[in-house]
Amino acid sequence: MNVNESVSIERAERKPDVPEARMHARPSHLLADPRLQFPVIGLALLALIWLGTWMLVDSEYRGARAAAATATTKLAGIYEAQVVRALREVDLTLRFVQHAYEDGLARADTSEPMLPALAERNLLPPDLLFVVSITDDEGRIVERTRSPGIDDVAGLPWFDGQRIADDFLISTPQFIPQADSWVVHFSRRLDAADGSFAGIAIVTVDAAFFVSGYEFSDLGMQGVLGILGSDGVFRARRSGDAMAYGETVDYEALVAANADTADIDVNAWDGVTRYTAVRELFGFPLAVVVGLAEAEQLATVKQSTRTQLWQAFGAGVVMLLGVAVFGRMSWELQRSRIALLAHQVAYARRVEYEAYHDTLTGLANRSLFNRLLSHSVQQAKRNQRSFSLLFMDLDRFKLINDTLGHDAGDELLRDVAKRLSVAVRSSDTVARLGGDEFVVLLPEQNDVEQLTAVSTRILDAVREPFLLAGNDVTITVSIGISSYPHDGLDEQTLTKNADLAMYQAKKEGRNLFRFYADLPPSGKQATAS
Amino acid sequence: MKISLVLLIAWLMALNSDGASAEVVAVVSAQSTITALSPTEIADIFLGKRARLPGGGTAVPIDQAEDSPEREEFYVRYAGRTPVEMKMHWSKLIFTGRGQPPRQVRDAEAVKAALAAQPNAIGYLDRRYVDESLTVLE
Repeated sequence: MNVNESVSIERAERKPDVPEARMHARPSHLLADPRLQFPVIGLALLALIWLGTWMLVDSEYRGARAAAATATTKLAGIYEAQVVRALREVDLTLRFVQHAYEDGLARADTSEPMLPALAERNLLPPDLLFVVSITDDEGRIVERTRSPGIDDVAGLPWFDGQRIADDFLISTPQFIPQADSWVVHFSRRLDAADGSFAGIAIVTVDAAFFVSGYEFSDLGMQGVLGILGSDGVFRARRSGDAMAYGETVDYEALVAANADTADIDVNAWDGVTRYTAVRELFGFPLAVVVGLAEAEQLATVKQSTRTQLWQAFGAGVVMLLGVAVFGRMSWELQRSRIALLAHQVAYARRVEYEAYHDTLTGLANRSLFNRLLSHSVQQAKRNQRSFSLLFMDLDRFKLINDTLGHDAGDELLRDVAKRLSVAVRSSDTVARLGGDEFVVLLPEQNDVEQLTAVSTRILDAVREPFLLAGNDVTITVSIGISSYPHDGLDEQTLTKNADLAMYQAKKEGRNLFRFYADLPPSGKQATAS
Repeated sequence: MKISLVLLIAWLMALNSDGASAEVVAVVSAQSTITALSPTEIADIFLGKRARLPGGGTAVPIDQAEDSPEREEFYVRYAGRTPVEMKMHWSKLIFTGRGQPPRQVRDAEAVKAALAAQPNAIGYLDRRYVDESLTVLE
């Protein structure tokens, strides 16, 4: 018999109970437990859903931002070309007037007005938006296609500038109350025949003209289109239907911040965040400003990502519910399997327990005693140890059985079993071999004095009266003792010798204990017991 | 009572049509190949959205002076646009390089002269200036 079997016996001796059985049936790996497994799966899936959504949203935002920046750059290019062309046309008109003026000088026909002739030949821009006028050397308007909203330009920088040299000069915006509109004056110098300053030619343009290319489909309500002088003064600026003229901004800073790429910029003039492109015009002291409002450009993607986030949320909820349901089902299944297993284990254990124990007293039965005895012999042999056996038989038990009945007999046996268990050490094993036969196995024990003490304790314990069916009953016991190794080296010999010793005790008057070693030679002969 | 109310309304209507500024009509030269154009087609030609005539050839719209009542009336009636809206319209077309406004002449007599000079020209004027040299597009 090996150690494992011993352990299994030890365990079998315990009372079987279900909680312990469940403990032993618990799955070995933590992740195999559905209570942990499914939350982990659920969280992993949730993380996957949100990671995917986040990546999608992020890429959509990046796409929208890049698209807005690209669109801004493109629109700036178009706007720049339009403004440059419009300015060239204005300058061309001024050069026509210069040319016509010089022609008139050549013909020495200065009294005749020259503008109607130009208009007649379709050389002047549309009257609707452009006013052409001419001043004398004092700055007084002497000829005009319509009222430019100003009669005298003396002292204005774009007039005085022409005194020095011919240049394409651009005024700051001027409000014309009669027309309820803002205009910008463009001018060039007119030379007298001797090359001296004779006056200027002016083309007055509705400032709104320069931002009339505003397309709502491209720029939205919050975009911006503007034409800004290098002096930092907006000639015109438009956002949606709102126009502004003559605002001053930090030109250098704006150009520096937005010249190369259409970057996000909080526009100083209205505080709106826009993808802003600023382009300085070649050959003119102007820059164009184009902006797409971030809020408008990202509105679509914001809407769609909001939908995606809700979808992800919905998918997460549905997935979690699904996982929860599956987890619950799986857990219940496993729990019922565990319960079944526990039940089977408990049953097997009870069967085993019953196979090795006496049902009446709960003591070890003969089978278990035999196994323990063989085990003790092996252990003692291997380890050079000793042990002893106490064989007991109640004296005149049959008499009690016959007079008080079987129930009283059974009760007496149970009481005796209890007293025996109390009288021995906890390491000793008390077994009932059947009928009124008991045995005590005392490991590591062959000392005569000790054995005498135990035996005396047993005799005293049993001798105390029992209360059986209302009667005080006194019973005694006879004990035979054999010890390993000197009374025998195997189970049979030791059992037989203990039995012989007990038989001798009976013979000598009962209520006694006898050591096999002390038996007279006649007593050591095996006779029927 | 009822009759007097009807009379009152009739009188008011008569007053309204009489009292309104003169009726402006679109016209072409009597020599023109054009005999009929829908109001929408006329509006499109004057807004620069259409240049080709149904019978071939390029339409030449003739405007009256910017501050003339005929001009305001014509655009409100045919294009549903106020002078300010028309200015914005042409401002945008000129700026973006997609068109030039119609040639502008001084008055009804100048319109007649322009129409006589160009067979594809279309103008507008007060109905009372219509004579046998013109065909009214109705």
